[in-house]
Amino acid sequence: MAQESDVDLWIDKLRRCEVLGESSVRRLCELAKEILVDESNVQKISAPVTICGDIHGQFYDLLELFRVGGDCPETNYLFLGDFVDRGHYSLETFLFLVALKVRYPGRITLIRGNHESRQITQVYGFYDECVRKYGSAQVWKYCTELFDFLSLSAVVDNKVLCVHGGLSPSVSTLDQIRTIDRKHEVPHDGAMCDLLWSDPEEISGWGLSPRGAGYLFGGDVVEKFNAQNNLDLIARAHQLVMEGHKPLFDDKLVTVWSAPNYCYRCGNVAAILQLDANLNRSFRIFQAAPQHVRVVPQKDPAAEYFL
Amino acid sequence: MELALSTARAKKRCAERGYIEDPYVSHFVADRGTGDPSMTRGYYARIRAIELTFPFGPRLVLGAGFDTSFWRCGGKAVEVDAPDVIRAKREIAKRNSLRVDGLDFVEADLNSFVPESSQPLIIAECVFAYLRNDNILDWASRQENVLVVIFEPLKSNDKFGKIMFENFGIRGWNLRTKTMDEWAVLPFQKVKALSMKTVCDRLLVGEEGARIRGLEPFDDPSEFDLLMSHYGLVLAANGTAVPFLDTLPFLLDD
Repeated sequence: MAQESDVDLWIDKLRRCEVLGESSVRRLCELAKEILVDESNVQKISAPVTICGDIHGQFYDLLELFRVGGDCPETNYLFLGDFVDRGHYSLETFLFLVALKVRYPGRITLIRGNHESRQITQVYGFYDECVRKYGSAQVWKYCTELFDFLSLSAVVDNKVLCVHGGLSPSVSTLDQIRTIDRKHEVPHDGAMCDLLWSDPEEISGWGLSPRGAGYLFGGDVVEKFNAQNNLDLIARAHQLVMEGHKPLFDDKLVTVWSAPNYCYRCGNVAAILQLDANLNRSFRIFQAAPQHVRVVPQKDPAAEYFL
Repeated sequence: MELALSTARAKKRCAERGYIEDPYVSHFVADRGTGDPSMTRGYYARIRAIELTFPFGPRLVLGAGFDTSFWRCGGKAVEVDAPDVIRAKREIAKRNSLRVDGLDFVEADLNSFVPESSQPLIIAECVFAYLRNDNILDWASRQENVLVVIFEPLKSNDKFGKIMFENFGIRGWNLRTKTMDEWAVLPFQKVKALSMKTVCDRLLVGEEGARIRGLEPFDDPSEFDLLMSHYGLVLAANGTAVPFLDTLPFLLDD
């Protein structure tokens, strides 16, 4: 059993973007599992809370997020998933957030994104990063086992549903989300898949998703779901928004995107959504961390292009 | 050489993941590097679109690098690149007994290279942006029957475009390139300038489109569209190339 002082040491190390030894990662993941296993599929949170979208391994931009939004535990945080893949520091990003979760379990909530998956991380970079940094896939295994314990959604003061992707045609009530058996790999279809993969769209009803997983859902679907579950808002992430946030369907849904200059090439700004004690919404916009604070891995190009 | 290797790595990934059949690329590069499905899908569209122009005739491939299209698609080709690249390519082809009848290699600095008119099809993938002058384009525009196929990053003033050229600058490249509108008015009898987003939308249809979309999980279509809309495919045609353009499936809707 790790001492509190061990966790503080890990946090200090990770804050400097240094990786932990393999056995420390194993212990950290075990401690996190013990906390996450008791969380509901619809984890209850109280306002005020700051809601953050995709991070995607952009570690120095995550530090920028904390600079803008305040440190944990002073600020209560909810992260909507997609901690890993695409950026250069998926491992440091994910473990830093997990260490904060272990140290301050009541002040930070992490829910699962579609990239917290064995299959997707083997395609989009996290697997390769772990093998590159440790010479084996063992640390990737510890992390992906922990992914299975992450909650699927959260609800703030019973009024704001927070989920990575969106709604599912097989889910019409929060209770239906609560009954999902979540502790396994993200499936290719069904309610759990849809919550992590779906996107809102200006259509009526349901549509096929160009992502090949999840669905597109229209304003009427959101209207009905929010009414039936007595919700004011759905806060979700999952889609790049150049302005960092985008309201839809008369403010009944909002997309929050927290990876500035996504993939080091998109040129977008990022946002976090602050809900005050009365659930009033305000957005904080931030840019990518300046070049001089970054350490780009020597062998990696800054961004990928066709050459 | 580094550019030739990096493109070969990307094409090796395309082959390994089933986008294209290419048993030759592994001779030229050992590792497949890293790269996500936006890049592999983009390379697939680029390779397919360009190879659809091959029926036009013998081709001159500028900055050919370790391109394997001669072995994959046949036909006749003259491949031009820097001496170190051409020597390595010739050596690897010989060592692996790859067929070279119908293929000529030319070692040249493309800044001062003067083509011959016996190849009516000129392929230039990410070439002109790296050159100091437009001499080859000027020469081609004066040919009676010619089709120049150009793949290039597009100049643009939006955020993605600005970051792209900043990132190129960090690698020490000050690329000369054009906007889509500037490409569209090259002095040829007919010019078609399309964004690669349009090319992808038109090529990724039907059975083949479904096959490609089924190869890998694909995370973010809007980010892919953003990336592809910053690359252009330009077809500049004189003489017999003008009616040939009408046979290209990705131009049928124009």
